[in-house]
Amino acid sequence: MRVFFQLFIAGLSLGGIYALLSFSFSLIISTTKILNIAHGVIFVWGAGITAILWLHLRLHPLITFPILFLFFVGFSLLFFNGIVRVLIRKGEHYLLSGSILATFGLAFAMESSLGAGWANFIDPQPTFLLPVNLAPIELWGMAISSNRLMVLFFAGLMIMGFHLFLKKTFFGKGARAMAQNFGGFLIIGLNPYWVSMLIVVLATLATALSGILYILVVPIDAYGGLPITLKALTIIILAGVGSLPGILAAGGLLGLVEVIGSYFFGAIWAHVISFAILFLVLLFRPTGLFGKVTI
Amino acid sequence: MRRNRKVLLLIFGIVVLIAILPPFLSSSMLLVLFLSFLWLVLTANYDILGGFLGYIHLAQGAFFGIGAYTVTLLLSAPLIQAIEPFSLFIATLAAIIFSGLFAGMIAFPLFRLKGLYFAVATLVLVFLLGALVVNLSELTGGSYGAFVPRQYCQNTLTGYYLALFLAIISVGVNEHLSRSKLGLSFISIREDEEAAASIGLNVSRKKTIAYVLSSLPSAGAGIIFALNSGFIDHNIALGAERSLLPPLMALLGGTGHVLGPVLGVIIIRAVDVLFFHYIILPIPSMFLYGIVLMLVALFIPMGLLNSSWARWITDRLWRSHSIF
Amino acid sequence: MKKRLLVPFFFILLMVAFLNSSMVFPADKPPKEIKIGASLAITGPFSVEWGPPTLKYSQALESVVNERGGVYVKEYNTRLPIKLIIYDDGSSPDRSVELYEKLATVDKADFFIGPESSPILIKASTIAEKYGIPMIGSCGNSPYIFARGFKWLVGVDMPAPQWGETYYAMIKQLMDTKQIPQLKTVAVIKEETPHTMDVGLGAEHYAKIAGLEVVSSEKIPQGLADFSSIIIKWKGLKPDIVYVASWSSTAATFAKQAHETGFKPFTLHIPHVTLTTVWHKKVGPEIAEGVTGITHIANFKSGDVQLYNEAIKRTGLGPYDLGIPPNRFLSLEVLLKGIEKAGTLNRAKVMDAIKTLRYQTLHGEMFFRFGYDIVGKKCDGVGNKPVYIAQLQGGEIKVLWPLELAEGKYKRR
Repeated sequence: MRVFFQLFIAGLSLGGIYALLSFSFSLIISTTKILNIAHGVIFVWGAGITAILWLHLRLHPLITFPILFLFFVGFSLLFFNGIVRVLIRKGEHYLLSGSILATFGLAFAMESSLGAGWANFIDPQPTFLLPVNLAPIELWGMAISSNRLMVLFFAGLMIMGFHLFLKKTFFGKGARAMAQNFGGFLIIGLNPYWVSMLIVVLATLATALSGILYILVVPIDAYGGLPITLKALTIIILAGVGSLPGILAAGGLLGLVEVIGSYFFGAIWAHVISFAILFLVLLFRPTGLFGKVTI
Repeated sequence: MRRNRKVLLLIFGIVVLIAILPPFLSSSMLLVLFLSFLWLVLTANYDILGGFLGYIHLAQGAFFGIGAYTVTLLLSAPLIQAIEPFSLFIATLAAIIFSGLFAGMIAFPLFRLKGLYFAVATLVLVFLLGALVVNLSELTGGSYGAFVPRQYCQNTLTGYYLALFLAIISVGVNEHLSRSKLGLSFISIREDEEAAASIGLNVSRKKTIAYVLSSLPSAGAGIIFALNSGFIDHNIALGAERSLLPPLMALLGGTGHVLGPVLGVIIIRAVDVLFFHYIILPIPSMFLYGIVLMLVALFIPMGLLNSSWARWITDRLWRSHSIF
Repeated sequence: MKKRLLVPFFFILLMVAFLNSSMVFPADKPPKEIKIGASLAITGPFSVEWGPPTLKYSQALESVVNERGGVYVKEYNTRLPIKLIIYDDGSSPDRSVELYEKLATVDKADFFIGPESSPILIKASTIAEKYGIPMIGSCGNSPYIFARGFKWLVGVDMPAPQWGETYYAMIKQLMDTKQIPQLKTVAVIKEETPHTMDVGLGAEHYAKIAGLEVVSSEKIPQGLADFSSIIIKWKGLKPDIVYVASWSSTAATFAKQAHETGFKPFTLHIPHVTLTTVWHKKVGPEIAEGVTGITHIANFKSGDVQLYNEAIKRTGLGPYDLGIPPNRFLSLEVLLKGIEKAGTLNRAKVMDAIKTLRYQTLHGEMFFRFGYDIVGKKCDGVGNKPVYIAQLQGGEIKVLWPLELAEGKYKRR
């Protein structure tokens, strides 16, 4: 019984990590239809820049967070004006293909600059990890990782926060309207420029923050961006594009299946099990578990 | 028609030129071109699904990997080695057939999905195959990889011609599709699947045909690669790169166009070779590679052959709108 | 062309060919320099454990060697400088092969140094074999690379499975001298990549040296993010030693999760985390203190320590910031000593000289072994550069074993 409880908590925590990887990716693609391949790399940059500021330069958190905020707002504005607007101007029809190509190139450029830059100026191993080790929670003779629970908690908080933003606030509803019917959106007088810029900035900040939370539990290296993007893609498809809370559920499901499957079949089968589950779910629910928007 | 004959002659000339190139090439350029032809096979095959059928397919590398692994494992089996001198032929044939069968089988579940869901399912398929190859280490050698017995390995010159031949076939298939009823049925599925079904097309059968068609030359490419390389492992044969670069190259060149894959492969390979072979700067080559890719994408996000310049050129040259 | 011109044309062609071939240069016209080619993973996933700093050290080494005048080659009775031509292969085996082809045929490299990481070395070495160019591997030490009967490849590093042998020898000594209690059980984690699987194999194979029993051996996929299934099982098994044969990132995830869930074996041995001090910085002292691992770096006392240290000084970094300087040093030194011994730049002669080389270097005597059986594979050309067992103490890496080079004593966690 205790074993199952521990596995259950571990699986949910892993689910929290998966949700963390993916929700901001879903945010961008379901509102602006941009497939941001560089998502994982921004995630990694969030982790990396924090590691530089916090660990290497040893700046106080109260200084690091404003710097991070400014850096990523600046980055997202560059990203928006340099890539998103250029692509939208070329024609909405080519948004998907153009965004894939452009963000691919961006991903390569960003990850190699971080990797080489770090290795040349900071330390020989561009891996990022924060040495924050909270004491485990003791419960009925079992020790539960509080680091991971904290990640789960914050992931849930951010997801619900964005979900409410999309559902209840004016800008959020505007973003959804923009995705559903661009013509109608223009007719009712909303400005696509401001709405999409806001979404891009918020999503970028969320991605960077997710990266920081992630490295509280799992280290990541400078070149881990692309695998993360691919993982995020699979999770939002499992959840179904357009449903942010669905990502929590999908992540949780995946995490549980992986952990329990590893316990019975051996950890080596962890990835095979998760891929197999993904594939099976898609067979029976072609738009994901909670999918609404079709891309 | 005059136009067709001029064009055919031009293409024939180019092919002959490429065929007599080897003696003038350094061995590294020979290798670069050999690999580029294989990429062209993958990209052209991808375009059957991505360009004609309109389904973004992220598992082109799966066929490559299945071809490579099947032929490698078969050639290491004593049973196959015993049937000299037919071993190589039988193993190759078996690998291609197996890949086709796999494609046919997996098409059924895959084509229940559409759009991004289809794309991700194919991506998951590649990951699943890679993970299975690693886990079933008794059979495949696991993460250590598998060797092709030395007597079957082909040198790069042979590989060059085989790959060139396969590339010509792949582009030729696309050319034929662009003019044939089968290709037209693919395009109609891409434009409006429901309407296509309503005019009597057996949509799922066409999709399966497209999938199997796209798998065969790619499996051949994997086989040629394995025989040249002598060693494969799950990264080399089933890595994400082999599935993600073909769509990239096709997009860059312009999907749905016969020459789109050719242009896309040329651009990406040229940039790759330029930055990794020739430019040694303190700035990492990958950085420059990424920046160039990004800039190219921002200027021509619709792909080269879909851009206004290309249409202008083709209009001027051919005085008609052709897919060519 | 007119037929009349054909005959004189051919005559001229023949003359030119004859003159060219008969223009035998006297044997003492030396080449300008000795070209040594390599591709390195400077970017891409394989560069994470040893990327740009490796390049820096190699280049520093080159400059110091040349300042000393280079290598003496008897055939030309002069010292020749060396020139390193290093490309970035971006962690791609395909590209590495292309680059080594270029080095062989376009750049006309005389010799090769191997790329980093086994999956790349195994492919790149085929080029060395194809053209008959000696290749000295510096880090790849997986038996499967050396069991192919290749004639033009050697690797300086001791085969990875033997890392276990060294560790268990130390454990045995610690138990015999009562510095630690009698331990009985080992649990092993093996990450599914060739190198780490080899290390894990050694962890299982050599446990009996110390009289230990392997109670559990878990394979994990590369980069696993959750170890709860393993930790839960092992909490019940209570192994004395946990041997984590994985890359340092994955090991960090495990160590953190073990700490977070209260799993504390008597001793934690993670080979890859004491190669540099950054692991300690990143997981934090509560977890890292007391963890043992292996290191390539020690307070070397023999061989050309001066050259080794001078190059390190020139990079402006500490030895632990450079990752694996001894390996890069050794692979170059072996090559240069081989050239000196052969007295010529003739590749076959140099290769033979290298294979029969025996000389004093940083770790003692350096030589290569042939027909050497390692966990069931017969390997040729594996070197004997040992690894040293070290422990993280006070944020620093202290060598514990072998005792002659020890900088500290084993501390309990």
